[in-house]
Amino acid sequence: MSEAGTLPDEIRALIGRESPPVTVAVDTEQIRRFADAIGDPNPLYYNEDYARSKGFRSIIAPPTFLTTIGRWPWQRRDETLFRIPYGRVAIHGEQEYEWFRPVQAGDVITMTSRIVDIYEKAGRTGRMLFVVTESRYVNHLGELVAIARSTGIRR
Amino acid sequence: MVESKLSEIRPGFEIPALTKGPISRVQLAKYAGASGDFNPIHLDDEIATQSGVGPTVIAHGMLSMAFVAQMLTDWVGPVNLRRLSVRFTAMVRPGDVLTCRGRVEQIRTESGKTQANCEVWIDNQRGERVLTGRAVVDLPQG
Repeated sequence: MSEAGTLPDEIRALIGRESPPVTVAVDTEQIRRFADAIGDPNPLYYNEDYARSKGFRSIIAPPTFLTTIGRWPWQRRDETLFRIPYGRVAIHGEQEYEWFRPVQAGDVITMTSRIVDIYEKAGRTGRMLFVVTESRYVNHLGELVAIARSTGIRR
Repeated sequence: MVESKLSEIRPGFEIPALTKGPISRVQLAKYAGASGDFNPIHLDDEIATQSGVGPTVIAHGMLSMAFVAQMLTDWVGPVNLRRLSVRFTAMVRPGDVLTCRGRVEQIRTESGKTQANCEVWIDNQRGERVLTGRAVVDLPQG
């Protein structure tokens, strides 16, 4: 599968590269906006009284809300860190999450991302580059919230 | 969520299906605004076409993943979703109707906790599979 030997050194050198931590304060409106955008009416995502009655500190976020963390330009410290000189389009190939506890409004989440693998494959439309990134999310209580693995495909 | 029944789940159980859509361009705009993913292949037909994914914009893969996650959390509740891994196998476009389905493959009990391994997928209105994946959920007993 992996043909790392054919990769230019400048690309192979990115494996293991880690981003500086990104820290984001999560509020009720970010969560509600995300839940509304995916069309999920679960009251745990909107109603603070209901969520508290279920033992949470506030409303909780839908599982894939974590994808919003670190996406905004002002949250990223170095735009060039994960820039990969390959192809003209990047699409999302695979995504994995392992969740340990929900994100709750009021949480301050810190994400650290690392490129864990890069490999090239021949596809239907030519050669493609697969970039696997692992992100860890920790809340302000020091609890591990989730681990994500994302595979981007560039061609 | 019908918690009392979760302890009775057996391999082969079909997770209640969830149908989403038709996907609108407004939903893609809302998802971009809520997630911060403003990649123009989701918002601009011309750029999508120039990028080779045209002739229209394509939906965010993470939107489809959110739909599968909703199917699972509608079933077991948000705190019981432990793991979800998906592969995006075909592009989703405005107008598509997506049906999320899943099946329990295996039940295992480990250190007093019962979990189900599930196969999950999404088909569009033409029967094309746009997402495949696997999930692990906790099944509260009692």
